[in-house]
Amino acid sequence: MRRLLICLILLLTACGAARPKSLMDHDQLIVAIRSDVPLISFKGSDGAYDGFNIDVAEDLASRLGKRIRWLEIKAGDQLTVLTDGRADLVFAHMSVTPERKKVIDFAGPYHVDFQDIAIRPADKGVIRDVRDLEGRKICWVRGTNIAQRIVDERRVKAIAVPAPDYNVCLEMIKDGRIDAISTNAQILAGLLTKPGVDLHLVGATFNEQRTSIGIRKGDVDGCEELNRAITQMYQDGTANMLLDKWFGKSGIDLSVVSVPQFEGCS
Amino acid sequence: MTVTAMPPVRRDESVSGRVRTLAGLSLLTLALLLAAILAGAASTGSSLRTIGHDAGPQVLATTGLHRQMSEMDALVAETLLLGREYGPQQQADLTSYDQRRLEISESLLKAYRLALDNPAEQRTVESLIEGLGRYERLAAQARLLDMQSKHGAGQPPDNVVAAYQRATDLMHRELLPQAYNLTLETGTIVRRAHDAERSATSLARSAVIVTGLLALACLLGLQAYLTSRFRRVFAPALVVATVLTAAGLLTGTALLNRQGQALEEAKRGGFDSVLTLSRARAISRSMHGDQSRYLLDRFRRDTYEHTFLDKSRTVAAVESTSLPDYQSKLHANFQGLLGGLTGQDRQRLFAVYQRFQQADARMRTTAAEAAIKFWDGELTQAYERYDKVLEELVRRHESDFERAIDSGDGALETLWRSIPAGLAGGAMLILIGVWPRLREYR
Repeated sequence: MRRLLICLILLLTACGAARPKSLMDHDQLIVAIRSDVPLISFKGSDGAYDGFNIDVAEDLASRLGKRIRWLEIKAGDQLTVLTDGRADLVFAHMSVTPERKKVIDFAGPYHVDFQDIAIRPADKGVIRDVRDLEGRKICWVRGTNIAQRIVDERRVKAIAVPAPDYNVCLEMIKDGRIDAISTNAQILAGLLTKPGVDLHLVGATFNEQRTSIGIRKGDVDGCEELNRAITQMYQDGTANMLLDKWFGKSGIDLSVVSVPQFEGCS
Repeated sequence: MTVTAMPPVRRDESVSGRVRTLAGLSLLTLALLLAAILAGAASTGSSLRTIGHDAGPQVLATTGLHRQMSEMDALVAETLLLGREYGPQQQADLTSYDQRRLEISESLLKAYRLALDNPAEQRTVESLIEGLGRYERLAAQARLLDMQSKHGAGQPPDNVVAAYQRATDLMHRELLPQAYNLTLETGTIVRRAHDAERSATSLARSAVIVTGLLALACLLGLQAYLTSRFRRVFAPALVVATVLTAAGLLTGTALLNRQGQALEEAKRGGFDSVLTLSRARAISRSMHGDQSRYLLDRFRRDTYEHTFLDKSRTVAAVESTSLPDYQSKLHANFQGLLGGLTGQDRQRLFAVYQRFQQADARMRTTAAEAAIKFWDGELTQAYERYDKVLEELVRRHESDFERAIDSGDGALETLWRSIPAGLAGGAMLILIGVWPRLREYR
């Protein structure tokens, strides 16, 4: 009889252990964000975080019934915070790539953006699309794949000049060390709002940027719940409202708001 | 008298009491065994119903929707690209377009009916119906401008391209993603139902084993007690009851196992494969559309080449930096949606997919006029051969799926009929076996 009971207990615990760890198991989510991207995720004058990513993260977390604890990260840490288990979610304007998918999973995308180019107003006549970057110097923020998407994917022979973050890119374009900054239209729109920045947006919407949420590998439950929350966010108009709130005056064309096509969770 | 009679009476009472307790326990555990078997059968049964009869067909309806809408937009691009020299072919394209529209209406109705208890899914279907109306208006505008321009084969005038851009933007940025997400959502519903019911079934299976062993232990205990008390070697009725209980335990476990296997087979071999392959087929259709759009719209060539690469990587992922790089590195060990295929299926699919990618590479290096001829001939043929192999694979997994569901249903029927009858028989035999012994104490 006792042996039978032990067997039963073993069986029950085996059932319990089979379920993988999910962000849905916690009441509080640790959300990794950057704090240096204007309009998207930045520290306001009162010390609180603000921006499009922050609003989206808060909206989605409240739909899941969770509280948020923010974790500030640097460019290049997006993957390691998840693999080390320091964060549950990463909202760092990450796009999905097969290489990244080997170590983490993605929920969403929660927004579909395009890549654009910012140049000095004086170059308006000579740089009109991505092909005109041939032979010119562009900024490459370490940890992002944007420069690679121009040089390798588009086969435009631009010269990638490394920089630790976009503030350095802004300095470099000002003193002529580089000719262009290319990244998501949203990030560029944010950079243009910084004081003392006088740049022109080319409006070359070339690569689709599927901005997604990084989650731990294998968290299918969490991924599915986040996707459901994103669907609701688009259906009830919250997504449009947030886009308009942050980018309505930025010069980004919001006449057609793309509904994101999900990556899928398995 | 009373003094001498007391001890035997107490002894008699305790013997009949023990017999009664043991018999009662045997009956109780037998009833629990039956309950466990029935609960297991009910939970696998409801899982089979979810996968086989409700959500399964819904997923198939929505994957069809994505492909049909992709095709509709590709056909519009084709008619605009062909120009008046290809009059009859343009007409054929329009007929296919109307055919797709009919299929889309049917798929939408089906999806709506099946989404009755899911308001988010219903809203998606409603928004698709509304969006398709807008798409038709924009596509008709582009076609009208195209007819008025009377251009030859090749790139139509800019105003036609601009009108088409509005239509295709709506399709690709609003409608297709919604259709795609609808399929993923039904996939989620099926996965969750399956997971929940699978753990219920495994719990039921262990409950069957535990209660079955307990019932056997009680029956054996009862017999051992009767043998030692009444000096009979065995009671035939109780022996048969023990055999029946053992048989019930074994067949119950075996049937629940078989049903569980059928469910796993239906989910993995059938449902999951059909879902993945249909998604790959829908994306491939849209890749072929990107090829015509690449030729049609010189303003967005880069974008369409990039979306083609993106989709190629989704369908068959190979580490690569650009489209030519992808096409030269493509090898039979690709990952991605089609990465789950094995053996001959993989070889066969890889052969046609590689030819499709090779044809694409040739189209992109050919000059304008010749590129359109090549696209219309060899490239389209290469695509159709690839699509046909995919379609065959989907069909085959669909029939695997139906077969697995049928075999699960068959196992259910046997369960409901024979096991309860056998266990009820066992209970009767226990009563028959114990009754004469209890009567001795009347």
